[in-house]
Amino acid sequence: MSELLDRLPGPDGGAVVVARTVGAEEISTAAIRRYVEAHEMTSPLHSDEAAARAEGYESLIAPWSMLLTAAMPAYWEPGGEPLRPGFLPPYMWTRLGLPGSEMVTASVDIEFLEPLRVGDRITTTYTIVRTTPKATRVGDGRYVDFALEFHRQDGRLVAVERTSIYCYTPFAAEGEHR
Amino acid sequence: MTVAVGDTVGPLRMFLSLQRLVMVSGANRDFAPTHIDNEAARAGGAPAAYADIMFVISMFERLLLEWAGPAARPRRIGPVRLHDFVVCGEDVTVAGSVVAVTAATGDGRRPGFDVEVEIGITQAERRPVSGRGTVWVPAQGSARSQRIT
Repeated sequence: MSELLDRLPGPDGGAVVVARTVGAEEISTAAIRRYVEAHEMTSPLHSDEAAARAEGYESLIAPWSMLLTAAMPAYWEPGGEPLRPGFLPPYMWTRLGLPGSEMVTASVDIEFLEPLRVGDRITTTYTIVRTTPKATRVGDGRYVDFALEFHRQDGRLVAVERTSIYCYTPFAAEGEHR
Repeated sequence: MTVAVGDTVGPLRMFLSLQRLVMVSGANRDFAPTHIDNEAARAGGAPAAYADIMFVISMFERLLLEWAGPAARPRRIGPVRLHDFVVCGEDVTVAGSVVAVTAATGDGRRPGFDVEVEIGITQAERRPVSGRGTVWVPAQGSARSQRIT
């Protein structure tokens, strides 16, 4: 943790690339169908090839918000340690040893550049662009501002995200994970 | 479609049951206990299991695209700010209003507009999420001239 702390940029910035991950799965029609079903999304672009082509797409596209699912690495792979009860999603901010015992997502901002297609696999580059020490009503800690770039397998940048995570040690025990 | 600043977008409503949260978790692969287990959520200070950020982003997308139609294309969702928990056991209402309309070309130089919408999620008297989304919509009568690849 201390090594990372030493590398973190302060309030004046100075970006540091801290991780690069690969999504666990290619985007599939089955995953799209499950996602659409769970959120009751009505757009025909996710289920009707003719409708997708009529709007200029090569074929079906995934919901745009499915990006974060497509980018998520595997929780477990053969050879890995067994998952312990209470395991968290493999977002890098849960695995970087950021300072503080708790973290909350303060804000999220995603710019979509390209649609997600069946067969796409997403690589994510995590950069910490700024950290800002701050005591709040819940504890003492720092805001850590990430910039994420999402590339598909042919190298094309499909989206960028800016996320601010508040990492803190609570005055009283409370907290929320993303 | 014609769009003007001040236009209402939505609302859309969904009852957010614990069963729904489990279904969403299976679809988006976020299995954090606080999103699917009331006890785990309460241990962290929330009144019940609560939706994750991916659900919030998805509902913003639904709102924008069900309003703007399949020819529209989301440019940006954000900044989205989480003020409180979006908890299960209550209705979720997602609604917005247009705050800016700017001429912008889409793919294939198709004429249209970027429409910025201020969006909020409310549960009863609470407003746990606020944010913005921008969606490109084609100008009326504009034809697609090139495929999106």
